[in-house]
Amino acid sequence: MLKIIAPRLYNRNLTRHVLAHHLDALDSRMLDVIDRLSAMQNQRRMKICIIGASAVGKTNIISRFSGGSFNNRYQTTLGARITKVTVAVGGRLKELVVWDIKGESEFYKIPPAYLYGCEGYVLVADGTRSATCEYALGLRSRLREYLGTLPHLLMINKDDLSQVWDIDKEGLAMLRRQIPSVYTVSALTGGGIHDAMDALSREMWGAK
Amino acid sequence: MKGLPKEITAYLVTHALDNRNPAYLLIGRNTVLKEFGGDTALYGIGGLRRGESTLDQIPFLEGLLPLRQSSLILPCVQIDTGQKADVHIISDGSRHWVLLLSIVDEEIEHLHLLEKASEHNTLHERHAKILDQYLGKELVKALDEGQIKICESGERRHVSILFADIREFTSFSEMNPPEVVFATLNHYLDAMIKPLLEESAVVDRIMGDAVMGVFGILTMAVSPPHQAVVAALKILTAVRDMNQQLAKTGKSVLEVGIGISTGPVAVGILGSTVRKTFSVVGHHVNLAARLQDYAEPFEILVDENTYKEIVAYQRGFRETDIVLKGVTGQVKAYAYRMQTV
Repeated sequence: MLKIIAPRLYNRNLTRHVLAHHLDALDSRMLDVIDRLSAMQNQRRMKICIIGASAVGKTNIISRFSGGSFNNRYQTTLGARITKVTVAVGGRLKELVVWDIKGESEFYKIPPAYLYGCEGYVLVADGTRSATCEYALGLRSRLREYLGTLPHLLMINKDDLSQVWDIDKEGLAMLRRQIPSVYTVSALTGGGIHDAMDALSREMWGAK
Repeated sequence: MKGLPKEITAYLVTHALDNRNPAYLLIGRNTVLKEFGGDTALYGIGGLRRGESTLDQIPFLEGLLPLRQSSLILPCVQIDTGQKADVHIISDGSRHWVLLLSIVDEEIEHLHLLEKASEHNTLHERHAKILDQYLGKELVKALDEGQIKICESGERRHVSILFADIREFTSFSEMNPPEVVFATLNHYLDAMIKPLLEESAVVDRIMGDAVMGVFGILTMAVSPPHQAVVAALKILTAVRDMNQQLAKTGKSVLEVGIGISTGPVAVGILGSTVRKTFSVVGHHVNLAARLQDYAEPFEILVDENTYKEIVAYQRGFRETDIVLKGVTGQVKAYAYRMQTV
């Protein structure tokens, strides 16, 4: 910044004055960022949304994450189901208020009101139905438009059925190029779910 | 309400609130709970304390308060206490009203109907996937787009038919538990079907431990016999490689025999209006099946028509005269045997 400003200014006093002004502004912006970071780290509870196409296993993933078991019978979610889950982030206990939102389909679009105030989200797709991955990518674009850039990740469910997945390595690599955090998980075995949620919680609370 | 007599307004209010069990919260600055009333216990939020944080007492409101707009409606929310409610939040800037209303039966019914529609969609998606897998994406696309037309009443086509069968699978299935049988069968069928689809075959039938592929339905630059022989060689290679891996882990291995015949067959669509299937009928279908019966493990047996059109591969085949069950007279066939060791 010094290199850019200094050569343009002829008067030394003016230079000093302008520099001081810029440094003050910089200080104030940094303090603002530090304040926000600190407020975020101290925040005890945050809302996240779990979204994806219909019947990809969102509810079973949340059931696993909150310590419950896998339900073999498909149970549809009507509207949104809220679960509170305690997580440890950087040695502190925090709470995630998880909104498990009814899966989208041709006949049902997520009401934007459900997303209000959420501070992170999980996209869920089913590895045995590649169309649900494409759907997740489309949802992500809409969410970014509505919510801005928020911490998020993609869980590809049914890792236990990997031999019948219709996404190959190339498809997975393509998804990873578009979404930095992609986790293959299994709601049946519970595999991968906690790792993914830990990573998302750390990102949301700005912890390492 | 403007222009309405108070009796009508009262009736409308009563009607709108019928079976809705309203409960409300009034929330002041810093999300402190100022007031509450109505049927809060029904929603599992009894025992509320005025003057304390609303969010600590009702965590599901996290993120929603303070509201940065005048109102927010959240339909059919199942709160963490297990109750379902329509949640309305109304803000006048410094204060927020939260109104909880029970879900009406019609709304639940509507959501169930939506779900039924979604299930049909998923089912449709699964069927499309099965078609993709077993008939090959090319055929489904071509049929959909009308690029290939198969006359429902039947038509004659010059095709190559390939039958591939897992040897001794019946005795294997009798000696092993069902889960092992099906897992093994899936592995072998996968190794057999992939090469067929790669070489643009229509996989017409999967019969237990055998598959049938038809070459020449999808128009390709390469001749059907050439496609069929390349697919057969790929199948034997895939099964041999898989067997080498299985043997290393001490698992049982199985072998495959293949028969190919080329010639005119009747091609058509069979079945009812609800469920139609592609079908091939004719002497060459039977001949390919009989050749496959006769083939030794890791052997490809082809008929004379096929042999004549696979000039590039002829050197690998040796001539053999065989008498086949169900086929009159002696048949000239050509055999290729893959070395497995």
